[in-house]
Amino acid sequence: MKLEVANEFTVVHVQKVKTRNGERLEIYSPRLGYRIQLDPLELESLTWQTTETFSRFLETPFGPGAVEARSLSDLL
Amino acid sequence: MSRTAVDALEILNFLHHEAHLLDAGKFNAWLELLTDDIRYRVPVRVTREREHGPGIIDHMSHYEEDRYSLEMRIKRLETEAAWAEDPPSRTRHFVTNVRVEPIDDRHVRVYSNLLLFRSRGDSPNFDLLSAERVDVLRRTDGGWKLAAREVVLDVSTVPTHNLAILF
Amino acid sequence: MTIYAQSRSGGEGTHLLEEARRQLAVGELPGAIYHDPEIFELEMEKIFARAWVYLAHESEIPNAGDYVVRYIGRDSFILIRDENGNVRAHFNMCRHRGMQVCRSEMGNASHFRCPYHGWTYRNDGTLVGVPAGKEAYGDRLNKEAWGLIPIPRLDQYNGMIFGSLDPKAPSLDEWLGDMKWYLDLFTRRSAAGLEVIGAPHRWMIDADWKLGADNFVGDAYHTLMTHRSMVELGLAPRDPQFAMYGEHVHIPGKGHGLGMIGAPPNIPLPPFWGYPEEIVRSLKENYPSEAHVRVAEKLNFVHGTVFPNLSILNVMIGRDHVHPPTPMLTFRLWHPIAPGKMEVWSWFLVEKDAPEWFKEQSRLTYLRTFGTSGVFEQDDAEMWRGITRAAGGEMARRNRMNYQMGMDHLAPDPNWPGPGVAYPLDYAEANQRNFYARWLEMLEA
Ligand code: FES
Ligand SMILES: [Fe+2]
Repeated sequence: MKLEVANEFTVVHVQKVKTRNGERLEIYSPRLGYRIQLDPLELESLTWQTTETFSRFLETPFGPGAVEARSLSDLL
Repeated sequence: MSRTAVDALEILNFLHHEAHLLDAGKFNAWLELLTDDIRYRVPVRVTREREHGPGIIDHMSHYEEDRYSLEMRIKRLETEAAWAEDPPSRTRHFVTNVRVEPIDDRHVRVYSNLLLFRSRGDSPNFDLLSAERVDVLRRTDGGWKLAAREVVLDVSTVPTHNLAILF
Repeated sequence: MTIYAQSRSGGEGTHLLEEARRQLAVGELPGAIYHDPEIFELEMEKIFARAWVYLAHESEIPNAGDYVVRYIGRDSFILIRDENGNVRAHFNMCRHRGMQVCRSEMGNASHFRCPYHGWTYRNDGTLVGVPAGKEAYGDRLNKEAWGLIPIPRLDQYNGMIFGSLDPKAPSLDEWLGDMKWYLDLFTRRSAAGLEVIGAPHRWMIDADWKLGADNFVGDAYHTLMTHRSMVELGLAPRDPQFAMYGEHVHIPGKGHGLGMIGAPPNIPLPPFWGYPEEIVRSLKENYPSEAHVRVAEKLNFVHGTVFPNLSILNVMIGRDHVHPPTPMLTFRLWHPIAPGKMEVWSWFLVEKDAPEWFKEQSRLTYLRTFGTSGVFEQDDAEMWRGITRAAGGEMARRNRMNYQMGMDHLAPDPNWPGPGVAYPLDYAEANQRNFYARWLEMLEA
């Protein structure tokens, strides 16, 4: 079952995926193209996180890596 | 007696009769109790955590038989070189906890517990296999016939040296 | 247990080994080697703690976090693909008080949490979490030093994963040596590789592990007697000469060997084991040499053993008395449990990109002939149990087993295109003699 969770800022797809020998929860960001598959222990560890943890995650709001900055003249 | 009571008695008799045929080595008579489209399966089981259910492996089985392959196994026992079962194992099928569930006019699903005792040669050691059987029985003009059997073993590693015996 | 190997006046084990050494030189072996507690302990220490032992096929753990639990000797390992895709094998024993970290036979996990006190390890083995760590240990616990213990050696060949308990073992490449040429025949038919279907069959036999290895390394001779019921039903070749049309190949010094059998001259059997055209086309593209294609074209029945306890069977065989033969491939491990007792692990494998109809027929053929209930397998188990029982007493020490087949009258085949020493027929016991020569060499080392 695929779940879509959305607000005015973004949308993610969440679904349970089978591996050969077990299962994980996949979270996919269609806008940024990132994907992560979390197992139950990792998910459980999210339950005691606070907003600060996620705020730290969001220090780079569009994913890891440097954002490419190019001047307009470069594109002309 | 009511129809269901009669059925239940017939079904119990069927299971006991069938167990007798297997223990008495009357394999051809046992074959006659099977429908032509018989499906006979003993899946491999692995140890999994409770959330993952009984650990039944869908794509690998100890037995996965149809009419031809069961016939082949029994023809083989009739040759003079089926060493695995000649001299034969002494087996005893103990069938208990029988529950009958109607499916349609012609079919019932029958659950039973099986304890299968096996002894070979003059060694006093023996093997025990415990399982739940889920059968589908079909009512035919010739009486009840076994149309499907799934045997869920209560072991992961099989404790006996082969499965040259039937459940 | 080393005493037997070292002291001349040692226990029965030494005596038996000396006897075995003397006898093997003339193609004989004492019957007691199949059921002797001291030999068994010596095998654990000198062979299974030093050899490369087969663990799994890579297709059993394709995704990050997929794991299976496997054994070498008495040790249990978690074989897992970590989050970076690397295959690892961790000794399945917690570093805190020694609990088995993993108790399922297979599963998927990014982390393992020990059920005793909760030490938590990432699937690459690193210790990441300790309950009440600060309170209980202060700053004393250096987590980096307390990860799960990795298996001393881990390597793979064409997707076949092997491990060794000996940090100083030679490389897997060297261990397999010229056997690799032959493993290519089974593992390189397709670029997609092989896949294990389902899980292995596992069952116990009151028999010595060497009997399985011995049978598969070179014993085509038993087919017509042991499997006579199958011959009568037409599932095995009827021609009493069938193994005359084969090669008996061993890798000197390594213990490995195979029998490779084709069709008798006047019996038409399909080329390439009868594999469907898709696979035949693909093997022609993927085999590493032209010689592989030429050899495979003539093959119908192949049996072999990778020393010490992995056997391979790739044969075309009927799944009942009605349907035509289908090729199938199985890997099996003769896992030693106790003197005179082994556990068999048996896998069915097929090319990942084979047509679905073929995978299904090949699978059914495997499970009806060589699985737990396999109609061939059954009769072998009966023989190996009988031997093991007979080997447990006093007289077996005096009973010299005859391993002389083909010893004086056979000369190596100069025309065989593959490596190793090949004899031009599979009724021979050169492979077995080579297997036991390696066995003795390791036990005496
Ligand atoms: S034994 Fe594993 S945490 Fe104590
Ligand atoms: Fe055999």
